[in-house]
Amino acid sequence: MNQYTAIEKLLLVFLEELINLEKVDLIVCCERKGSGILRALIEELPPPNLDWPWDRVVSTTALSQFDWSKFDGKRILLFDELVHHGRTLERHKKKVLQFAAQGTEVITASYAVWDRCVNPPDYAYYRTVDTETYEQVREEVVSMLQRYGSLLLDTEHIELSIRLQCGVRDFYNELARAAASGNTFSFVSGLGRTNLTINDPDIVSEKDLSRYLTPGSNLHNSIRKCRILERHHDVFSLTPIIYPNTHSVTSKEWMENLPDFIFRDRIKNSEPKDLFFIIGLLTSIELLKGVVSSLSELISDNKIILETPEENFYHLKATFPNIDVHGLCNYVRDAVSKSRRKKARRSRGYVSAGNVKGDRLLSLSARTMCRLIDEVDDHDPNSRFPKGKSWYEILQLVKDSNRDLNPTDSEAKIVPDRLIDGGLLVTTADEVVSAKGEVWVIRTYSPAGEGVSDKIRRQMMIRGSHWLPVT
Amino acid sequence: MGGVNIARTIRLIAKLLMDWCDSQEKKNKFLTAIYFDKLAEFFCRIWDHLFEQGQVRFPSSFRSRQGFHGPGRAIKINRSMEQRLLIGRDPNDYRHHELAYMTEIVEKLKPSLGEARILFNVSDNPPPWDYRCRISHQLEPSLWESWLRETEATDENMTFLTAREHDYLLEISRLICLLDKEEIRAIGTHQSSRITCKNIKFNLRAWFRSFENILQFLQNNANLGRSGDIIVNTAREVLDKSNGNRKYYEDALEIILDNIGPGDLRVAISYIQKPATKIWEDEEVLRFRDSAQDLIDLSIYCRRGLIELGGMPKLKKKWELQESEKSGVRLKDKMSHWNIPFYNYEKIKSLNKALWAMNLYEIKRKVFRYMPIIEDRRELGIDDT
Repeated sequence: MNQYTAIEKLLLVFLEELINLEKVDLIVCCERKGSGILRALIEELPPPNLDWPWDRVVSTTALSQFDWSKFDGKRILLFDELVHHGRTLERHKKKVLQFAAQGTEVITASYAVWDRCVNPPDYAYYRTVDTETYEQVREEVVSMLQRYGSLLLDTEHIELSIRLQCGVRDFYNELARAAASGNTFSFVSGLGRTNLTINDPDIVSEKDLSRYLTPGSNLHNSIRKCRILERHHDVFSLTPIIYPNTHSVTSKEWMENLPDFIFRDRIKNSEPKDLFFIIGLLTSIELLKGVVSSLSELISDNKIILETPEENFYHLKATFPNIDVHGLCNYVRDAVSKSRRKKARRSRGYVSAGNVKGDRLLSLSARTMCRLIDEVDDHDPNSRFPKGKSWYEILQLVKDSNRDLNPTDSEAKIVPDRLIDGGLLVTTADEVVSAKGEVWVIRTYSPAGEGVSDKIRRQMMIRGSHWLPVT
Repeated sequence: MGGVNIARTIRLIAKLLMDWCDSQEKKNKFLTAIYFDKLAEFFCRIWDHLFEQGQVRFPSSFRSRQGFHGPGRAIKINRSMEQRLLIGRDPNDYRHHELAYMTEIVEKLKPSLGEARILFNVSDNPPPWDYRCRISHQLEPSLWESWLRETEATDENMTFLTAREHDYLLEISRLICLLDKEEIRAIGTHQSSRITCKNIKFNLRAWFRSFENILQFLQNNANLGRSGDIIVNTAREVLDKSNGNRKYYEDALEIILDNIGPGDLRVAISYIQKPATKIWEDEEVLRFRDSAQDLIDLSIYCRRGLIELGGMPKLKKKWELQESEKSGVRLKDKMSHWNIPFYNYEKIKSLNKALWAMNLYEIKRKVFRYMPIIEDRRELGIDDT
């Protein structure tokens, strides 16, 4: 990007002025887009960008892991890019105050605030916006994140960079060798970016992966994929994503198996969700190995350049305060270095990448979204299980709401990617208590916020459940 | 357009209520909340199906949502903290919920000023959130006729009803008028075995929640609230849904199908309302039915025991006392087969509460052992049995 668009400039100016005015020491980002925006402002904008160190950023998903002692009596900025009713912001503020020492000041800020907000922040660039403007601003924020590489520009996943010196088709077909036939598809997401999703990539060593699982945790019907996204011309990011169903009980063996970049003494008393994310991170490195192996020939022929720049890891500090980012980077580099020397399991030409056409993907996505909102609204408050849908349930939803289009399993697995990229679907980690009273954490998928859901509900009142403009 | 569609749907429901009330011989022409909700649910179900088949221009504005008495049409409502604080403490008060069902919708949409017409009367006593609340219509036949004559709109979408839609509505209304209110309730509540099982599980989850409260009360002196009444009411709902409603549903569906000619509407109703045998002879429904009486007996026994312990006010009605005696006898007989000790009401007064809690837990396990699993997340690799 050579030039800012309006929203980037305004966000940058707003945050810079606020940080100076309030003499902010620490920024807490409200997930899910807060940290994505911060990353765009710190790392993606060409200079002058936001000059702020990542060790003074923490995500709202990592508050319990953060070392608050360094910020006793300091000034904390809690930032959420959009505030609707204000309940989420208020909840996060209470949580921050729970962890921070007495006397620590928490200032809340947002880029835009809905005019019927009941808990407005202390600072806002747009203090009151009507519903239409709110939706417009939200779309601008989503577009901004899509410009910088989709809503995966977040702080949960490791990311490699790949520079192409070959055609995209060869690159995609080579990546398809990382999974069984019919599992790899390209598609176009928001702002016309080309994407590739490898569903269920091979796990090179089940044994190596399982040492990172707590006792009882499993991969049954859980998400496992690799996303490849064009960030800039001929520069792609490769992001492995895997979230085992996590049984929130550690063992001595599990602790001993943790790599050195994890601060073991701080992990000991982790909350269930913290464990979930750590396990997701560690197992994703194992997942990466198979995908990198599939690219070994392109690498050795210099048709692609695979990089693991340390800058790609800094932002992980916000979500994983209990890891040494430098150590993680070296660990990943080591894993990549070994994997690139191994041969891909499948012969070239044996598998290839398919494509899901834009129109078809839009239809599948639109109906899924309507049905999802219907189901979430019909959620029983007495249920022990979360409102959000598990990966398995989302896929069933895609198929049930699109029977006439008859999506394949792999097409169904791409629909959530499309919806996430469009800012319509968000991912969370939810605790589930089993009948035995044990706590598990699973990955769940929900409609993105009330602003999005309300708009869809209004449209469904007029047009029924099979219509939605997904753009 | 959203507002227009809500107004249209409300008008159609007012028309149905007007026609049904006028067809009844009784002097007091109204429906109480549950029956009104079910009338709306049944109509909206047919109308939405016609919309999906492309036979009407617009869907009903309201989505079907699970509820204590089965599905009902509702919209999501954001209640501010102030509103929640103003609401009474009755957990049955629907205003605690995130959903507003039909009775609350028409209550809230009651116009106070301006040009909008008052289409419904919703009683203040009993209040709108009480299931005995009475809803009557304020629709005048000439007003209805004047709406139908609103054909001068240049945009066809703004026309109230096309001729075809009007015909559908009149036919649906004629069929509903042939039903008594219990038949309306049954056919509004049920449509398929899948939905019936879903709604029974909804009730059972509420039952579990209240039962856990009761155990917490016995073990840790936690707040009992109305858990004793809730388990009895939900158990009765389970029995009604798994068995009691069948006769009314069968009669309702027979009346409708006997009185409807061939055509789109017959096809629609035959599609969405499954025969009673398909619902109540479904294996899962049968398993719920077979355990429902035990569940009621356990619930009534439990409530009576809580009364004896001073956790709840005494029963006032003679039939309730008699019922609790009968339940006790049936349960005692069952428990002797299950090899679980039985404590009569007199004994419970002096029994250690924690011991009785364990006893209740054992009975519950037996009652539920043949029921289908209520919530199963084994697809997640979580052993949830």
